[in-house]
Amino acid sequence: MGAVKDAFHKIGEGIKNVAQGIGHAVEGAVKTVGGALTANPELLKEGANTFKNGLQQGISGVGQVAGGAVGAAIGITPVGAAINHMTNGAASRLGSGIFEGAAKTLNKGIDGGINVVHGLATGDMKEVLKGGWDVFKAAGMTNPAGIVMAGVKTEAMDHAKEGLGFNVSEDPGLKNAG
Amino acid sequence: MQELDLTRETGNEMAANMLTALGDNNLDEAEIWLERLRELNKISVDHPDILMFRALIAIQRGHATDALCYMNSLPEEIAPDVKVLCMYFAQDPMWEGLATELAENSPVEHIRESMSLLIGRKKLVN
Repeated sequence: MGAVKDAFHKIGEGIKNVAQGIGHAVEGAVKTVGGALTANPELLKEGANTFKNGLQQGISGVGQVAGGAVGAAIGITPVGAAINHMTNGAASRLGSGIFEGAAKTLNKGIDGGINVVHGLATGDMKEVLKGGWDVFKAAGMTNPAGIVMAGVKTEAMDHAKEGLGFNVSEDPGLKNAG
Repeated sequence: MQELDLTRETGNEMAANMLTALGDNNLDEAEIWLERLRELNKISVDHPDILMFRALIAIQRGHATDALCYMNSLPEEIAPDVKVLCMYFAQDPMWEGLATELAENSPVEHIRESMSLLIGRKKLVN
């Protein structure tokens, strides 16, 4: 098993534990949120600040529980710890619908103002790379795909994804890299 | 009110299902749950929290380079931590420099923390 594949195997086990952690730990946060939004008079009359503090406490709890589970599962490899931290926070926000600051308004900004990535929004890498290899060159690489993709099943390379996926381009260098 | 309450519970279930699918390496299923979460939250495919899992799924599929190209096409302030993760798995030698920069200077706390973890300056506390 290659190093990258092996790392993901361990991280995958950790992520499952995150899910289990969220399943239990979010319950408290949901009750807090639900209570306020369903016009629970005890919560509403405490005002917005109390509601906000309660919410933050709930989210923090999720992070602590999930982080602990993952930490135990994947050890303390730097990339595993970083992914744990990143997925934990993102999953909690997506699950709860609670985002930091104005992040949720990003949709309008992206869709309305960034024409250059219009094709990217659908995951169409052919559209992205239509104008040449400028984007690819911007990555500052030649073709590291062969290294990255070693150990990953090759049929995935031909599995054209739509929607949220990042499609593999028609470039033979990428196609043959696996 | 009641509808929103139920939505939140559904979101948590979806997040748990997505993470479980990721953990089991069921990437198609994880992608479906991610799309449902995106629709539920009415956010862009380029929202940082969506990008995080899109990138993770792409990396797992062996498409780290595609994911990195995509991230490079976005404004640099959008999910720079996700970009670094893509660079790491795409073997881009510049990943460590950018990770260090973000660990030290990102205005976003969770980005500083995740990048500190990635470069080994900080350990995960159990």
